[in-house]
Amino acid sequence: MPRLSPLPTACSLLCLLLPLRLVAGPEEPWVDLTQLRFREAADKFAGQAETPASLIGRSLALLNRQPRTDDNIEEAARLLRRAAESAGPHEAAAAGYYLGCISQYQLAEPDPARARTQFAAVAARWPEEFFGQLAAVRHAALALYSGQPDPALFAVLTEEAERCTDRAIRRSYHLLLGEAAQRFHQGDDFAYRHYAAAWDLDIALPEQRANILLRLGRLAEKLQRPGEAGRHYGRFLQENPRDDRTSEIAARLAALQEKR
Amino acid sequence: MSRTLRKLGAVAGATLLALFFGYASWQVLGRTRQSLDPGLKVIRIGHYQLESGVRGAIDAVAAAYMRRNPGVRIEQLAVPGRVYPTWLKTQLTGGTAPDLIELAPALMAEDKARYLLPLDEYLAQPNPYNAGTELAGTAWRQTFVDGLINPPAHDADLLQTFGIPSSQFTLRLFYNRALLQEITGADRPPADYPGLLALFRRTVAFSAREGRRLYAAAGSKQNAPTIFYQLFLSQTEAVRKRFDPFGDMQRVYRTTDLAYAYLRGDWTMGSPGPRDGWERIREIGLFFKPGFYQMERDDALFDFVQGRALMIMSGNWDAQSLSSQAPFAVGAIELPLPDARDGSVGPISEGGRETQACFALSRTSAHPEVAADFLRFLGSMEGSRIFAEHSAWLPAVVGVKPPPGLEVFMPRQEGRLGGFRPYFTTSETEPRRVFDENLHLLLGTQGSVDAFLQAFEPAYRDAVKAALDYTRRADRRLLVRQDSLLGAQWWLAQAGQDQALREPAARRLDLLVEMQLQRTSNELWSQWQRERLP
Repeated sequence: MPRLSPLPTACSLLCLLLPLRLVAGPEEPWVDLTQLRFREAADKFAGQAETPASLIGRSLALLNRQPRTDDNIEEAARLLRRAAESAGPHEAAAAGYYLGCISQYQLAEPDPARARTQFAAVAARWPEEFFGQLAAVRHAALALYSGQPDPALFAVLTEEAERCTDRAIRRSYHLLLGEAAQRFHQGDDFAYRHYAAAWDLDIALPEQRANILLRLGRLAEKLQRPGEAGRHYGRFLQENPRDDRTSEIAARLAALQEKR
Repeated sequence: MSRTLRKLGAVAGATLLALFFGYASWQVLGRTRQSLDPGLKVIRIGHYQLESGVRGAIDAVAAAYMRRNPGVRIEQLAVPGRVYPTWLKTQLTGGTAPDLIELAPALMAEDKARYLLPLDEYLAQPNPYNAGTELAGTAWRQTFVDGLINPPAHDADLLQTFGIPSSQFTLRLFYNRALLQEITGADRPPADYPGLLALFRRTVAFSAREGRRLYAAAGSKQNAPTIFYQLFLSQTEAVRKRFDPFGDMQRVYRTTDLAYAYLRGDWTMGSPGPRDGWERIREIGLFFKPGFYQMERDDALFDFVQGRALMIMSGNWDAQSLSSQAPFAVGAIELPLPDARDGSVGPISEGGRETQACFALSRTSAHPEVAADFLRFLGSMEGSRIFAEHSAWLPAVVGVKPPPGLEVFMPRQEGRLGGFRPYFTTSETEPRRVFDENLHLLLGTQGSVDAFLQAFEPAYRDAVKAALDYTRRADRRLLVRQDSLLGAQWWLAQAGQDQALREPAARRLDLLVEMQLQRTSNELWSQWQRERLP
């Protein structure tokens, strides 16, 4: 019978029970939002003293509150505009970002051009802020997929990606550029560099980690870099021993090793 | 005499009634006494696994746990599958759900977020019940064969894990050993596809010769398609590879690039590969009992256990039921697959499969710490071994060997990737309807691949278009919700005053940013392709 070591047991139980703890105060409606309790969150934000944060929180709840109505969306946009008027940089960037999101997906007739302008403005005004950088990636995505992107656009966006200070956003920016480069045939080396930059920033989603390793391996093969390809495939096999792609990748790795 | 008998009957009836009443009262009072016992913690498990052995397996795991924890009693509530979703929703909404519930497909992300406790923080720690085993010190999540990245254990929208799995499932071709011997004189069916076809033909000839009403394979609308999918998968790998935009060989079922390539006319259902798939489906489908597509799963199982069919395709969850109900010995093999003209041969890998029969922790549990501890035992090497031994299901924990005789059901790791199923879009409703409506043209005795494709393909193109549009609308709704979720996590992680909420929120934010921007990019790419369709 295994003996339970008291310290890890206590720690893990404590972690497990954290969500059970009654959260009171200004955080409570934010916790409701994370649990998709949009109606409760909207009511609680409405009951709080009006601050830019509570206005933004209420608008996020309204955007998802059922039934979704044009009135709710309009009210959410109005709250965001009001929040932006009196806010510091954090909240102003957030309010601007969410106004862009409303234009992109919430309206009965989505307006991607308006969303693009909104995201570009937020990214330009608050480049150091989390939501400013998030807006930059959303703007980049809209720019890339609005037509046939040319190499100049890729070059500009690559520079912008390098300037992102938030690790998660920079990682996603590189992934966005890597994928767009493959979809619009901007060159294997260009795509490889972006995937490699994203990889160095620790891919968070397990399925994504596996996929990026295989993309890196495949691109390295195309670029005649068998050593690098082998390293990526080896890492894939090590991290994903029960994936359904292991036989195929093991065979490729063996073929690479034979060539060398 | 008759009066005396009547009196005796009345007395006996009254006595029986009194005895039953007394017994029932004793049971009720006993439960009340136990529930009032402050030293006893009762954990209830609600589930819908009524297959033979599974309830016994839960009892066995519970008994082993209770021996270690004398102050705990584990009780199970087995609810029939047909009413389980309604029952579960009612219990969750009413705040009366059992401490542990089996996750059902009907549970949406909203239900999980609202009524269940995420287990991620817990899964990041080693499972103490694995102490002294090869899994000691390994994060609990990594001790499961799929790393718990798949539904139903994991919710891809919330990016949280709610379920601890107890098993994993595979599909196998079950066969009647006695009948096989009678027909062929052999104890095992052939392991290759041409051999299987020959066996099916031989069965038909045997049936005609002996004047016995026998079919090569029992089929129903549930189990026959599982054979069709496998056959189609085996023939379509080259087409899938051709439209793999990043070359990372992701399972194609979830990608839209193949569907847009289809709508652009880059390939058709009559192209080499898919056409071979239809031919293989017709080849095998003709051996099913006529009208099988109108039959239910239970009808097909009944035909098999009655000895009216040589084989049946089903999941390993049926293995014990089939063996106990059939008056003959039952064997099982992997479905032999045909080689493809593109050169891909041999079996398809079953790696990376989802773990199943997952149990989750209700927010209303009176003893969440005990319920969670029981989950840890259930999800340990020892708990998994006990469960597998009693249920004859496959273990979900790495390194736990299947009970003797179940080795054939373990997922095959080595093998090719395969292509795609006859309907391959994320939203299957419309494509499947068109497939179902036209299948008779393929499988009827007067049918043919050409007749089928002529009717099927035009309707199928519209169905694929509708499915893609539906998926895009669903993705947009999801993006809107995830945007709000992302904002809330940022506030809790960065601006919130509550230190205890900060760290988990920051971890989830990291995942959400990556997921959200990935989905945005995919949605825009989907729109880009949609706008350029001819």
